[in-house]
Amino acid sequence: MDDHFDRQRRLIETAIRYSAAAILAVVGAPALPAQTSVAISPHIIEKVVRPGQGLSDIVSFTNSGKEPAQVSLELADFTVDENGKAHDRPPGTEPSSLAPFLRIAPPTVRVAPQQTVNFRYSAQLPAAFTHYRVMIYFLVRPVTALVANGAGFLIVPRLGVPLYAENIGAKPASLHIDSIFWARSPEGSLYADLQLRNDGQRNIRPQGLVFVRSANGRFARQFPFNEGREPVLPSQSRQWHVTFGPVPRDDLSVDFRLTTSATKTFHETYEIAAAR
Amino acid sequence: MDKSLFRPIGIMFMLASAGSISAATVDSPTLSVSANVQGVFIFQINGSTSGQSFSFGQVNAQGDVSPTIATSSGVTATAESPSGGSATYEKLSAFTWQVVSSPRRTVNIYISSASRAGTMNVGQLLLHMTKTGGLPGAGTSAGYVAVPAAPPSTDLVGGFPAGTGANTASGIIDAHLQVLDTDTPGTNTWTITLTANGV
Repeated sequence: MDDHFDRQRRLIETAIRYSAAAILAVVGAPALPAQTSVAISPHIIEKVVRPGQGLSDIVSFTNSGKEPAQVSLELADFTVDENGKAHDRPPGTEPSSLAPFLRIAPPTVRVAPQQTVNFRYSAQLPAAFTHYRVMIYFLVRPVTALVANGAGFLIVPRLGVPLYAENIGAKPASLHIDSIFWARSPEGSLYADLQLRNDGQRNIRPQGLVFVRSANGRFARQFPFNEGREPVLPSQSRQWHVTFGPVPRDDLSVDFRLTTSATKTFHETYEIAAAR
Repeated sequence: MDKSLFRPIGIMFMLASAGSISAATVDSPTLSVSANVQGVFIFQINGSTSGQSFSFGQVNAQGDVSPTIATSSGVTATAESPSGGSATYEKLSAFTWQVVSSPRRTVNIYISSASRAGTMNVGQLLLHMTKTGGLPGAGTSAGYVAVPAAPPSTDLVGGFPAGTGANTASGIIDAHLQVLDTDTPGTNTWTITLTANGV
């Protein structure tokens, strides 16, 4: 019986390992391998845990380039400003830092071309917390020095994977829209200026749709909002300055929908006067 | 044995064998845990002369270019003042880059650190990174930025969505080297850490 479950477990683990290669093959592998090509999977980690519980999992790193690479791990705390720009901080310096609880291995490893390495991480979290986060960086150095003669430079790729751990008992994310402003841009598009904040204790990646129709019925088009799935972190205020278009100069009706929590959607219709 | 278990595993193996990449896997020598692999983020850099590096060759304040380097690497040199000294060396499209993300996400690319080693005291190295199709609301690039002697980080391109297929983000990196009349010829190499991430 133990052998039976052991075989099952090994099959599943093997399938999981190959699935990273499968994703690479399906979504982005070029016909010819690039000279330097590195991939990580998953690229965002969001874990919801019970108080006092631990978390553990893997991040797969694949060297699909032509040269061997020395891969080293680094951690960074990060904050996100009102415009969505992330700012790195030394690990363990932010109140929301997951760095003191995180263990990840191996810290450095040589990865041959076409090889995948699984980095395993784990964290034992305290009983009282709501939201922790950290950025895991994979620094990819060439094994040998490449610039030798004269003046030159070497580019070292570094990929970041944000890891979020949230307490299942924390207040769920809830977006409050403070203001929204629509106008025409000089380039013939629609311009939206949106200010909102997350009143919850957990992340939200709001998804939205902007449906623009002309009054004469000749134009009807749907635009995605936040297609890059940017998060609004707990207690964070966020501004979005977005253009949608081009749109005609006629009178327009704008139907805007935005997820504001796991169960709620903001929905308003705005009338935009014809351009003069 | 529950035969239904093999169906998803079989599909995964088919997917794995269908593509152009066959990846060997190495485990770190630590605990075995449940795994949850989803999504992928790929960063590719292709140098015009080699994978991760570019050499201007031997440079000096007169703007001379080594014939070998000029021919093979396409370096353009300009002597700003032939009698007195300073010069610029430029290599357009020194690198091409690509970012693939599934699912789609907003990505930033920036210089997170840089170091310099060598015997030559060179004025400045500047990089210019452009994205094909432009950046949201900001033209095609953030302009030429000087490689910092030390952190903090410097944006090259940022805030663009990257996906797969037609939504793959790509562009080029141009390099510009300024050699001042006070600089001493010799060997000099910058190591530039280029970070790609999102939140």
